[in-house]
Amino acid sequence: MTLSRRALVALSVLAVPALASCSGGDADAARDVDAEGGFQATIPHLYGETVLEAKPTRIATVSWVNADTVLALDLVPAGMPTVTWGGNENGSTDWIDAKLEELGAGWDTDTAPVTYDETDGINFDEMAALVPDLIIAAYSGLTEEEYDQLSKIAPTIGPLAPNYTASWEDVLAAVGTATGLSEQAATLAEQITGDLAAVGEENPAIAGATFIAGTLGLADDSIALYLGGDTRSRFFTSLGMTLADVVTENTPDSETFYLEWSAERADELVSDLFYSWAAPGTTVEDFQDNELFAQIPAVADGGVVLTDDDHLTLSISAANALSLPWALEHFVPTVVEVAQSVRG
Amino acid sequence: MRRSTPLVLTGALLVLGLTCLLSLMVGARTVSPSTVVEALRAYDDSLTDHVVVHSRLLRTLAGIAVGGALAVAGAAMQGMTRNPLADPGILGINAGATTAVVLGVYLADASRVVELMGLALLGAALGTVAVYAVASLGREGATPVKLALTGAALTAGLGSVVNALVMIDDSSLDRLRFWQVGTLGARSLADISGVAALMAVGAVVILLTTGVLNALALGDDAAVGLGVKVGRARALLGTAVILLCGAAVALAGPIGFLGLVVPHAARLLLGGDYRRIVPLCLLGGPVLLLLADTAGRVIAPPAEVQVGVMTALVGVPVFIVLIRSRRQVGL
Repeated sequence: MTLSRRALVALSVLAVPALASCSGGDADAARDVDAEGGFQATIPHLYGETVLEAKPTRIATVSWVNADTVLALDLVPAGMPTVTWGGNENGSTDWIDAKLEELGAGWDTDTAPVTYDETDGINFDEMAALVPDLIIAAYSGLTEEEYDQLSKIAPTIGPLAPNYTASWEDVLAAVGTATGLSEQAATLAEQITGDLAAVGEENPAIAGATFIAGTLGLADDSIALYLGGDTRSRFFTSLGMTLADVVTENTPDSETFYLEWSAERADELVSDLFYSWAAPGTTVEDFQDNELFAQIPAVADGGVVLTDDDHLTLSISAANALSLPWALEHFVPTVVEVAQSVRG
Repeated sequence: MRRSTPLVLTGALLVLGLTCLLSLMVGARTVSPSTVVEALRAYDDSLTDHVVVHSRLLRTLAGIAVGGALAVAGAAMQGMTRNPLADPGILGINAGATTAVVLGVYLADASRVVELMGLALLGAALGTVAVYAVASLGREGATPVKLALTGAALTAGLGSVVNALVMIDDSSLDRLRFWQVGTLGARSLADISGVAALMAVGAVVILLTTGVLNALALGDDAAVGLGVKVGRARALLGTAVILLCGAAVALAGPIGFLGLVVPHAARLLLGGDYRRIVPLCLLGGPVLLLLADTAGRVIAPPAEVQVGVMTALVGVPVFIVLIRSRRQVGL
C-alpha cells in the first residue's frame, strides 16, 4: 500500500517546510516597467524566466499560497484550487473568504474565483477552460513537465524554490512584479514582518524564548523536528523567539529542513516552548500521558503550543501574506499565553 | 541433513533470550546494563533512563507476541494452501484487517486497541471468507493458485479503498499512517496482554493440529485418504490464522515478510514436518522481529526506522535466497 499522491501532498505541507529565501526567485532583479513606461515584467524561477508584455487580468493559480498572495495584493484570481486539506466548509480558508468579501467577490457573487480540484494533481483541463493570461505556481512542487504543459495554456511562473520551499516573501515579491504592484508588495511584506516582530517587542516572555517546532506522533511514538529553514520555525523566529540549540546542532546541512528524532532521546529536546501539529481533539495532557514524550522538558512543564485544527495549522505551515495576519490574530495569542505561563 | 529437534528448539530459545536482552539494552539512547537491571528491579518514573527501559520492555513484549503470531500463522497458511509463498499479506487477511481498522477510524473514530482488535479480526475474517468464496467458484474448487490470485486481487482492491479513505479524511492521516507501516512502539501493557491472550488461543490450536497440517500439505486427496475431514480442518486452522493475524495487525499494523521467511528458515533447519516447524516458528518469529526492531533503533540516528520497513529490508534478501534454493523449499 502506498500513500496516494494527494496524501503525499498533504504530508508535504505538514512535513516539508520552506527553506529560507536562499534560492530561486531573485525577484528584486526583475523589472516590471520598461523604459517607455509600458508594462513589461520578467520573473526568474527554477525553470527559466517568464516575460510578461501586458499586465495580467485573468490569473489562475495552483497549489497553496499563490492564490492567497494574489488576494493579498487586492486582486481576485480568475481561478484557484479548492482548499481540501485544512479547508473550511467553502473549500476555502477563513482568510481567503474574508478577503473575497472585502473585495466584493464573495463565493455567492459572480465575481468569485472559479475553483478546481487538485486531488489528482494539476487540473490542466479546468485551468485551460478559464483561458488565463497568467498562471502562478511560484510556491509549488511543479515538475518541469508540468511547467511546460502549463506554459502552453498561459505564461507560467514556475516554482521559485524546489518542492514547496519558496518563502512567502519571495512569492509576494514575484506576484507583485508580475502584476505591476511591486511597491505594494514591498510595503505589505514590511508591514507583516513588522507586525510579527512587534509580538516579541511587546511581550518579554516571547523575546528570546527558545522553541522547537515539530510533530509528536502519539500513534507510534514518533518525533519529527522542523529545522530552521522550515515555515513553522521561521514563523516562531519572526516573532522574536530563538530556535533551540539541540535543533541547530543537529541540522545536517542547509538543505535539510526536517529531522526524525528517536523518542528515546526525548529529554535532549530542551526548549521553553514546543510547538506540535496534532490530530483534532488532541490535548497537551495526551502528550504528557505518553511516558516518552513527557521527558521533553517543555511537555513536562506545560510549554506546549498545539494546532489541533488543520485550518489553523495551514495558516502557518503554508504561510503567506494573507494567512499570516490571520495567524497573528487567531494563533499568536495562544503562543503568547503559553510563553507567559512558562516564563512569566 | 536433519538436526535434532530438541537441540534446535533449545538453541532457538537461547537465541530468543539473547535477542530480548539485546532489545532491552540497545537503542537510540545509551543506557548502561546496570541501569537496565536497576530499572527492571526498582522502576522510578522520574528517571528518563528508567522510562526508556520501560518503553523498550513493552516493545520487546509486543515483538514477542507479534513475531510469534505472524510466523506461526504463515507456517499454517503455507501448509493449508500448499502454497510456498503463502503469507498473511498474500491471502488478503492483512488487507482485510487493515481496511476494517481504517474504516473504523474513519467512520467511528476508533482508537482504543480493543476496538481496533475487534475491527481487525472482523476484517481478517471477512477478507479470508471473501477470498475463499471467490476462489471456490468454478469446477475445480479453491486451488492454491486461485486462492493466491484472489488474495492478491482483494489486497489490491482494498488497498485503494484505504487510500481513498486517507484522501477523503486528511485529518486522520496521522493515525492512518500507522496502518501503512508496522511499528511496535506506543503500546501499553494492557493492549499487549489483551492481544496476546487472543494470539495464544490461535497458536495453541495450530500447535495441537500440526498432524492435520502435515496431512493437508500432502494435498486434499491424500489428506482424505489419511482420514482427515478436510473442510472442518481448514475451517479450524483458518479461524486460528485469522485470530493470529487480526491480533497482530491490531497491535502493530501490517508487518510483512515475517510470515513468509520464518517458516521457510525453519523448514531449512528441521525439514518439512509441521510438528517441528510450528514450534520453531513460535520462537524464530520473535527473534527476527526483535532483531529488526532493535536494528531499526540504531541504524539511522537520531531517527528510528519503523520495524515494518526493517522486516522488509531483512526479509527480501532472505526471500530471494529462498526462491533461488527452491529445491530445499519444497513443501
